[in-house]
Amino acid sequence: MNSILFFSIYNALSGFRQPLTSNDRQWLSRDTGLKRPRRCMPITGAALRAAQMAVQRDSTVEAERLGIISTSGNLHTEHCIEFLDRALQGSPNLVNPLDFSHTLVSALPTTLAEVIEARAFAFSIGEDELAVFEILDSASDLLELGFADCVIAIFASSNDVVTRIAHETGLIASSPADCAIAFRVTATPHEGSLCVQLLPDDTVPDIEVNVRDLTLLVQGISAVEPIGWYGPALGGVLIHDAVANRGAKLTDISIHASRGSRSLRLNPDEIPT
Amino acid sequence: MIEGAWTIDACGSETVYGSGWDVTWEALLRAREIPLAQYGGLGLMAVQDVVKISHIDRGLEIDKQPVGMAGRIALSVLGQLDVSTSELLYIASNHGESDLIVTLAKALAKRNGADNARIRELLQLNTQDALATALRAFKNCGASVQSACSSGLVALVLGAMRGRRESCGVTVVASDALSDIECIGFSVARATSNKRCHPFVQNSDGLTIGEGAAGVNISWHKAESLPNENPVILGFGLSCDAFHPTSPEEGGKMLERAWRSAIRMSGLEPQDIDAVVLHGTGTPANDSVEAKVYWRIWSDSKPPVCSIKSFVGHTMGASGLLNLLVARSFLETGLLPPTLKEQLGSIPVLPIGIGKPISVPTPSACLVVGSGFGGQNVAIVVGNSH
Repeated sequence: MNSILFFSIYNALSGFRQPLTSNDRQWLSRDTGLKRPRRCMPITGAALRAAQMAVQRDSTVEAERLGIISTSGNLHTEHCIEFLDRALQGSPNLVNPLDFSHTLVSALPTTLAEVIEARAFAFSIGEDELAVFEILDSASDLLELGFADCVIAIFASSNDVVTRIAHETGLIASSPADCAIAFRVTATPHEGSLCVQLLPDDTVPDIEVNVRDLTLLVQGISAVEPIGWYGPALGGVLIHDAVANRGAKLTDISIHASRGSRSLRLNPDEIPT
Repeated sequence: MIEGAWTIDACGSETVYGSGWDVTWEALLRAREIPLAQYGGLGLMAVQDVVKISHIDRGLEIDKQPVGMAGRIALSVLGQLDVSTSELLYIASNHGESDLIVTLAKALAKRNGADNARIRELLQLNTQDALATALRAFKNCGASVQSACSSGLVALVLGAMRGRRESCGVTVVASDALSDIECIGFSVARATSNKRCHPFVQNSDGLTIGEGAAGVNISWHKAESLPNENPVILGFGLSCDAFHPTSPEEGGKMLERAWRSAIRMSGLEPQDIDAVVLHGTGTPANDSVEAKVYWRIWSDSKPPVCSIKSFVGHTMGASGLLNLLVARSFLETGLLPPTLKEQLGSIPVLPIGIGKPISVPTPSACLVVGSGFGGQNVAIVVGNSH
């Protein structure tokens, strides 16, 4: 069975470095409604802004029919290091209990859920560059079985110390980057939505792709220069970049995974007018 | 009439009682307590026993393989399962590898004389967590799921749905281990008890942190071709409190929604549920909300409940899957494990077993519950295929 999904893409934003400046905190509290920004992993503010843009376009969805799925990965590493340093070098009593929740990577989707009131579900999935398949697979199933009417898919990456070292030692060629992109995903077309088809294996790829080489999987736009290291957010970034920045035609875009023969295609025949 | 169900084809576990689910099940029925280990001033469950079982070196050095306890017991459970019929692997964790990641990051930052080739090797083994190693070693793809202490059950739900769509067998493994971050975090949040946790009694004062892993093989069958074997997964429910980073919503509205959703998807009514395996952490915040929801749903039929955390500790990301294994064995034997070894003067607030199992003749359905930080709620109904 092939799954058809419809989605819109919302801005990629830069994250914030901790500790936040007072201006950062004011902006986050005033413009996004993020509570306790000092207690959150650095990417939270950017991810929340992207999620809010995605939700604003569809205010008709009830909170109990709105779910959030985010990428996993190293988003929480810096926060974990800071938490442990403060507790072990100082005293555990110096640690604020509210810092504890953001030592879990799943605190990103649940924090977003708290602010935008998404009560269907909130969890993280996918720790490597193929997370795009895992997020869209899960969204497709949850929509089909009626657990939600709309899923906000968050593709986030963080310029954490592990990734920076990977870059410095040549494991990854591109510079690590912060980003947060939100897809609003539904099972039925919505205004201006794109259509994506999740294909099972046995699909012969148009271009053989090795995601670890960070190849942009856009047929007809060959040898696209590396756009940075986005880890689990890669799939979202590639689609966003191709559509928003490079003028790719939807017919040109397909993503093929090197593990498990997964394919993801934007299907022009299904695009609503 | 439901469309079909998922058979539970195999199961495995690692707990303080040892390897394999039968060992744990027998110990739970007998209310066998393993002494708590005192570790860092916190009341923890038998750290040394788990170390003995799995021969884990908890230290991480840059010249060693950076796979910690959670990764190793996950691999042990994977070894207990026959994965030849599975095409997808879903793995779940919570805090288990957080210390590992931090240690690795610091070690890498200092370099410690390691050359770039070795650092690259280490980094390839560790992205989000060492459990990813298990995922990558598996013959086909799946996913790594994180949803705090409900991780195992969320992974089961996601794996079940995808296995149904792709008509293939799915293996789900959840694992969690003691970590400094976890112990410090729960301690400063004043969520830990200095003694063994006592879920669902008055004056319960906190949780006992444990570690463990659990796994199952499941496969989807349409109703007309469902094998005449028991038990099966009939349905599930999800919800998010969207309320607070660490505390559940006091009224339990969304928790109740998840429970009722699972029962409805299973084609059942609340009175069809013969037992409830609750999250039951021993913290007043969690247990009071679960008790409220229980009494709203079952004020008449009052099915017995249990929590196994007084015996195996709160195994965090693995706790939900261990609850699922309890439900499976309950349906096979009609015995629901006791929640406490002895009453100790505290009055139970729910119908729990104390000292011995509760016998339910010919049970037909059991609700399994899991919750996590951020208000992530999951419920699963396990029942007879007929």
